Amino acid sequence: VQRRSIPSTPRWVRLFGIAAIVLVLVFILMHLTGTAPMTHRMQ
Amino acid sequence: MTPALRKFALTLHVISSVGFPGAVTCFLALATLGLVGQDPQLVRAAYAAMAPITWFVILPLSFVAPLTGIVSSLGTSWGLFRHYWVLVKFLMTIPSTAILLVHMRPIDLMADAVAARALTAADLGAQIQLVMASGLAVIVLIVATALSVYKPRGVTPYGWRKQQDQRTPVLP
Repeated sequence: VQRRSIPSTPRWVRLFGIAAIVLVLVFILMHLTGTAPMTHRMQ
Repeated sequence: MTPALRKFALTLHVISSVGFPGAVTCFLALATLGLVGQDPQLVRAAYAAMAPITWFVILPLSFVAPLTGIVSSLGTSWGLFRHYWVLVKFLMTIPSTAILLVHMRPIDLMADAVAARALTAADLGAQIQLVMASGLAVIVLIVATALSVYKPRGVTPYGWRKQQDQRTPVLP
């Protein structure tokens, strides 16, 4: 039985991956620069 | 998995998955009211209501929805790692639940703060944070719901191998 090659990753999955990486980078950058709202201190 | 159990898990999954974005949208409405509201009593009431909504509605749903989803996927031919839309939904859920757990403390602190004193400019960061986090959560949950409805095509390499194994006849 001849096997076909593995199908390539769909475009929408790649776009989701890129969006996830961008979100993570923005999250890390905001926390490194101290501009994230989470860096506040509550009294 | 028996058909009765599969339907029970699916029913729980649909109920929790539909209720989850609804509850988070209510949270977003309260957080927005707390941020932009002019009436101090209304603002206090909004933040006081957020803690029980989070603890007794959002938090349980954040565990029931993915857990029943995992049971439903593993109990059917969809699988958890075979189709990209199932896998992406699952991978979106993990950080979302983690972010929710991280935000439990600020929500409690905010509820305690409004019970004890008037809000000040120092609380603005927390107020914005609650709006941003819940707004982002609503977007994530809308995307997850859309993935479930549209079920975009795409089989993972693992799912493809499983399909091939099922199609390949066993030779003596």
